[in-house]
Amino acid sequence: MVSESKTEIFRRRAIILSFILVVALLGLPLWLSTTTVPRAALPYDRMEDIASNIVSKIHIDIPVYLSYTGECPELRQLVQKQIDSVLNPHWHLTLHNLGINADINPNDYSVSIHHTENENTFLVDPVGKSARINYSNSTDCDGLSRFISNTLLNEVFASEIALFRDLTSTGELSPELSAKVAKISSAALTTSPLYHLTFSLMYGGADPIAWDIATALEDYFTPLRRQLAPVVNFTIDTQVQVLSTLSESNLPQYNENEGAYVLREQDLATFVNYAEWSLASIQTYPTINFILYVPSKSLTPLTISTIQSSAQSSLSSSASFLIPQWGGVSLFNLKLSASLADHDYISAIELKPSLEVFASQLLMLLGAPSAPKSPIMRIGLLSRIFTTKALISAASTLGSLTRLAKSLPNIAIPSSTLYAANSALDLIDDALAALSHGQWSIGVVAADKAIDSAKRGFFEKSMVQQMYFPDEHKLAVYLPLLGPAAVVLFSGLLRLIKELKFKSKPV
Amino acid sequence: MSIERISRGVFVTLVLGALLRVVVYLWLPTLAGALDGRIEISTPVSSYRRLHEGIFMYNNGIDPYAGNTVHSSPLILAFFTVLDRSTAGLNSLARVNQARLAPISVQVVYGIVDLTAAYYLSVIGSLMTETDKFQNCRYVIPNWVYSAVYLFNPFSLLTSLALSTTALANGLVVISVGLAVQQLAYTSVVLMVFAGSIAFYPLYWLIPLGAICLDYQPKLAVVKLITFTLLTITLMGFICQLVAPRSSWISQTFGVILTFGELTPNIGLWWYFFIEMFDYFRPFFLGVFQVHLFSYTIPTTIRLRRFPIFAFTVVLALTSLFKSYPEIGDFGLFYSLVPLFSFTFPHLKYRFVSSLTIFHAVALGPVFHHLWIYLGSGNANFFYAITLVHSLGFTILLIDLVWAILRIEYDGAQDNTVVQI
Repeated sequence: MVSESKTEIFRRRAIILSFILVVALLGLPLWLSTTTVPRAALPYDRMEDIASNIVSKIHIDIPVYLSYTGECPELRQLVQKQIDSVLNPHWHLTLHNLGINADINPNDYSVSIHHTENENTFLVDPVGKSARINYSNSTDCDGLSRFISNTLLNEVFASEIALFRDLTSTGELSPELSAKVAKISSAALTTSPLYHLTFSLMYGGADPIAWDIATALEDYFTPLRRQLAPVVNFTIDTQVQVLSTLSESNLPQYNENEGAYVLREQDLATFVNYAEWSLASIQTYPTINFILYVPSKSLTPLTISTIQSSAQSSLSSSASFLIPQWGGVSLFNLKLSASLADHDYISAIELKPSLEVFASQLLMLLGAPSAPKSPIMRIGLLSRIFTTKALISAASTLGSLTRLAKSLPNIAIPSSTLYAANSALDLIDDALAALSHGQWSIGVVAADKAIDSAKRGFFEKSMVQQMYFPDEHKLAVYLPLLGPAAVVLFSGLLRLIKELKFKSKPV
Repeated sequence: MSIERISRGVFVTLVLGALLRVVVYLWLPTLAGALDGRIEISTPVSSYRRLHEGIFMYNNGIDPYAGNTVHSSPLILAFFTVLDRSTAGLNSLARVNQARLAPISVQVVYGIVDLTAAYYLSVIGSLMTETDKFQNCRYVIPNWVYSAVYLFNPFSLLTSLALSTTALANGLVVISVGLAVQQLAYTSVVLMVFAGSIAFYPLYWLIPLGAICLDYQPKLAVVKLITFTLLTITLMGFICQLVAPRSSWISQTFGVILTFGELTPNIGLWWYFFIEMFDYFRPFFLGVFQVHLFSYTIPTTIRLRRFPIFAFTVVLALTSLFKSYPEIGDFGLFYSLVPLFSFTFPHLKYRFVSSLTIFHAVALGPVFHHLWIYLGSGNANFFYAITLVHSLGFTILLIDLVWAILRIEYDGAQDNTVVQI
């Protein structure tokens, strides 16, 4: 063999070096930048603190204004004392004296106390946010204050206190309270800032039918929607379906006594014919269905028999029932006298009773108790309950994120997760501050956003993906291709080093 | 050095090449469109149909790179837009058949590039000095053969008829090498950068092109040449930005080539691999494939320093083999350059094996693709397997050529008993 000339040796080394330089300058940075697991530094302390202490951080303080002109100068302090002894600071009422001539803000709770000849009575406003208390002569200051605090705690705010105790479980619930809570929360859908409402006219017959639902909604439903706007929002659609027959298994029987076809109560559970009525929702957020069921003319009139039915319901032309966590159904009987040739048309006025039923069903489906009659009170209650639920849920999501990140040191934490977690924490703080300042609608918006952010952080797609690859798998992926290449590279490099070593020694 | 007069043989070849293109244009108006639809002949980054879409959008004030359709260079987009506008009269005069893929002016441009490149190939053949270095190996073939192989080899011809932009890039590459051989280093660099703006990978070939320039122009200042090259690349980027301002042209042209943005089957080695790839490893292996492709460029140029045109050809062949969107035009360019090294042919060891493997793959490739896509009686594995076979045959041919050259370098191929160098 001819020995290598100097230029050839130089050339060979340059080749080896150029390979190694390409690998070192291009390959290594690429390898590091494309496979390093990004782990943003999450604010673990804050997240854990929020997750474990969210309940104790919630301070709801509801101002109640007393308007009183009687002889007890210390009445407010007395009532406050009694309320304080029952309530904890997480959910609290603060009483204020209302000046004699000051106007009552309709957005605040107020209690007006009046003197009367008769015995002690109270009256909770069915529309607004006020209560009226009449006290008799015989009542002293102490008795009056006890009566006021009882009225507030056991009547006006009873359901809210029960619900709140249940949510935060700051105390053992009495059986009667927990039954109440169960009744309320079993009907409610999952909390969401946005619901979809579907109003369906289901007609059992085959002839054309129409309803003036747009006007009816505008007239009888929009006011409630406006009031609820700070708490929840809705998207609405309506549909008409003919030939929506009841399922064969529970066709109503004709009842001679009532002169009507009667649905037995046990049939209500299977009333909605899920198989044949197309009620599927395409929304990603929860859907609430309201069905106005118009029976075919052969089944008219249709009523529902309830336990206490004989007394009241037989006469009502519109019977209704609630399907927990799904929606409401209201029956509507067409007038048989109308000639069959006419297009059946249900006017807005005729729809009014049904829509009012739907409105109250909606509040129940949202989780509002039936106890305070006043819608504005129920909405206020809803906003606080929604906020609390959302805060607890957001906090527990953040807690899960913390546990996940800490238990899996390999999992990627992209910067989007960090951003989401930080914004969730800030929003939770905002919501907590809003709650303690009585800004219910701000609180509910912030809490909804917080839950959104927390979920966005937790369910970040790129986080989960890399979990399928433990380090052993990575080796298996790298080796088949890169192993042979690396062997060639390293043997060349070793040869070069060996040569250089020999060169330095005298041969 | 003055350009020699065109020899009669070359002239006749060029005329025949032009004639063939005219005949096809007149008698087979739908051929270009049909060829454009074949994945072997045009890829998402080179398809004329997509370029045409881009020209239409550009003419109508829509950002052609906003969608995910157009991957042509802004330079070429601008060129064809201007061409379209300035030759509108000519095109309407020619009463363009609606079934045609492109108007006559575009066909003329492709034809001119093809013929020029074929001519320059004959220039390279007559001026290249590799043969001079080994007088005893001289194996003379007439100049017109080089042009003929470029104009008539089915790979290049079909690519050109399909109006794939690869045909333009290939033409520019050949012209660029021809200019380098004629000691016009700077012009040659400009053309290569232009080709790079069309197909990206010619930018890698600037390295062996530099070796050619230095070999044929030994007095050239290296630093000056490198600076000029970098300036040209910057200028190209600047012009592209000017043509397509505020748009994502980089990610839609070079980005798609580098990151294999459109995952469609082609005759290369990438697509099957990246279909099977876990998403998480995708960026990493994109990097591995690209670095692998680039890693041969510098060492090959260094090793074959004495045969710069051959080094250029080897780098070009490796690129065609390992690039993200190869098409037969890339291989056609390689086959057009191979006759330049006809002096190595007597020393090839696997002529038979490599040529048969390649023929086998070329015959079965379209068949398997048809079976998979249209008949459904085959699956993707058939097609991928045949592209692997093609790559294998191509690799054997390449290794054989490199072996022959090294063999000649070693002892002038005197001793036929040498089996290892």
